[in-house]
Amino acid sequence: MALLPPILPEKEEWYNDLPCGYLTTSVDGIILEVNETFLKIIGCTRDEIISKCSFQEFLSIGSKMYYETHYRPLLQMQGIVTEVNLVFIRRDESQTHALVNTKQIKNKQSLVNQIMIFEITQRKVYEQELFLMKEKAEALAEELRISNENLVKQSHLVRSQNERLEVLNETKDKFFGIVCHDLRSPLNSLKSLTYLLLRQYDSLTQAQISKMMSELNHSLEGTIKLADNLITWASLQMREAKACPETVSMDELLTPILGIYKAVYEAKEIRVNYQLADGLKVYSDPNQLAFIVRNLLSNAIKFTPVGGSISIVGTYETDHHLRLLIKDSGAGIPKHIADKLFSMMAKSTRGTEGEEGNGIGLMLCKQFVEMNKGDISFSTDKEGTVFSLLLPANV
Amino acid sequence: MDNTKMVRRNNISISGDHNKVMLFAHGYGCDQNMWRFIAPAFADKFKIVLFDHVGSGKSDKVAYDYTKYSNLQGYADDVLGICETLHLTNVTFVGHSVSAMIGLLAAVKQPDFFEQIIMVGPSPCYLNKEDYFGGFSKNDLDELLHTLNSNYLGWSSTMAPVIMGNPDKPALAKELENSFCNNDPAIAKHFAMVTFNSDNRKDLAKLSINSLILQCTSDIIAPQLVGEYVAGQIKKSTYHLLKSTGHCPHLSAPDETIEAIKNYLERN
Repeated sequence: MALLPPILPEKEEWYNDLPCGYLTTSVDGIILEVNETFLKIIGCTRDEIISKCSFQEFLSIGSKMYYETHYRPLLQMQGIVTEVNLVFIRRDESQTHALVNTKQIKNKQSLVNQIMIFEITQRKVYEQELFLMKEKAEALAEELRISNENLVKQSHLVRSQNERLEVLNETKDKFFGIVCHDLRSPLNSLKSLTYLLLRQYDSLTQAQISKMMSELNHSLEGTIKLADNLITWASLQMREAKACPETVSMDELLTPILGIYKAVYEAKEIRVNYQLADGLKVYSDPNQLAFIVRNLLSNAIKFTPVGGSISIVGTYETDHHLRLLIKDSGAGIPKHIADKLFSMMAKSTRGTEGEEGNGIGLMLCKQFVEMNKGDISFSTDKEGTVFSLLLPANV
Repeated sequence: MDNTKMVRRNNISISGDHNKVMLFAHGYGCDQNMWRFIAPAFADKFKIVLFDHVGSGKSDKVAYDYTKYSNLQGYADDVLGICETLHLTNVTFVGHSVSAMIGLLAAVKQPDFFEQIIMVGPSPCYLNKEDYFGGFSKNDLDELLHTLNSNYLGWSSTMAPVIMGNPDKPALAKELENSFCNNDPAIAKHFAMVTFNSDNRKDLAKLSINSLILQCTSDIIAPQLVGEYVAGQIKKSTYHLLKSTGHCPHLSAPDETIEAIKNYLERN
């Protein structure tokens, strides 16, 4: 088989007809040589640009900025830059996109840039479509993310509303339970006492009447206390109750309360040991604190057997807190009751002499203590129970 | 912020133990590697400190806070943080392009750290305003963003720079690969917008320390008119026009740049 004659074109023809624009420039970009393909892309003649124009002059303004801030430093650092998309402005001011590769080489004694330019007009249209779709997809993903976030927020809201509803429902049940049972039974006993008085007034002795009146009075006291607690509780549920703290002397607050209960604990022959640090001052809502102490003290009396003892001790715990201990010598709190002592589910327990309560006192105490930025806790065993209050102090 | 955290955040490199410090700050689009032809020339008299702005080069990209870096003061505060944490004093700050203004803002806020500022291709405002020529219009910025977008498609994976042996210049170490252009596209666009929308013309007169302005011939990013404006507004300034063209004389004409800085330091 005969060899085919060589088909490579002459060097100049080969250079001029390359299927890409080809330039040689100084490192500053001054055009030293170009091929025909580049001249066709740009729409200029050789004489117009050789040694007269720089490569950068044919770039759009955005590409010029990119060239100076990225392309040229990179080229000077590395000696080569490839695959950068620049926009060229033709002589007729139309634009064309091209990929530009540049390599710095040593020509005789000086460095020159060899630049190849590949037009990517068709590819660019496709790229722009892809770019738009990518942007759209990103926008959609962002929308999804936001709506997902909203969904999560709403489900949290629904859950917390549900929890709140459950609490409200329990509260309502408790309220009805108390109203149905605890409020009705003292009223029934009141009614039977008054009935007895009405029907048999003439046949009763003065002493019997006096005893019945005393029972009537006692029963009324309990009913009033229950009503008080219910009202306080209801008001706590119905509005955003607030604590209005002020600096109060503990002694001035406690002494009147002890006075109220004096008759009751003396009737049970209970010794009361009352001991406060000098000048002990608390920073709390005085009405709420009085409510707490009344409840704790009446509980202590209620569960201390005849002839027992109660101690009330107040000391500074830190520079900013005081501790008030109310200790009884009762039989202790059974575990099943102790576990939910401060909760809505607590039930009233009868006292040593059959004293009645309504099972919401301690729950309210805890709410008030927390509103006053304090803490309530207790410890209990067969020797008795200690309730401990930690409250902000004012030294 | 402690020392190690800051060194990691700004990819700080320190060499030498001279009392006087030369602190180099790169411009938009680049990183600290661009100082490699300049910094060694001053290592005999200065402790050399180089760093990358957060979001550029090998800085900690996670530390890029779009609010903090929504103006140049955020970057200036980083410069002051670096001086404070590394106990740098007697600092000669060398800032290229946008970093010239970052250095100026830092020196206006706390001049005590600095002896002088050398500004390479500074511009206080790139956009044309009523009576002021900055060189660019808002449309030009949009075009730059388009170009950035076009070149971030597949940029990071295919743009691995080829390191070539160049007898005129020291060979680039292997670890420098990619660091020049692997900036996060979103951060790069944000930095571009913050840079080219900045206007610090009013701050120029507040600079109290000495400064050298190195202006290139035919620089489209910071044209000669802008360099002259900067020199006119700053009180204790020296203006020097370099023969080098373009925006990065420290890369295209390192010898001329070094000579200009040395001459200035000798006279001051």
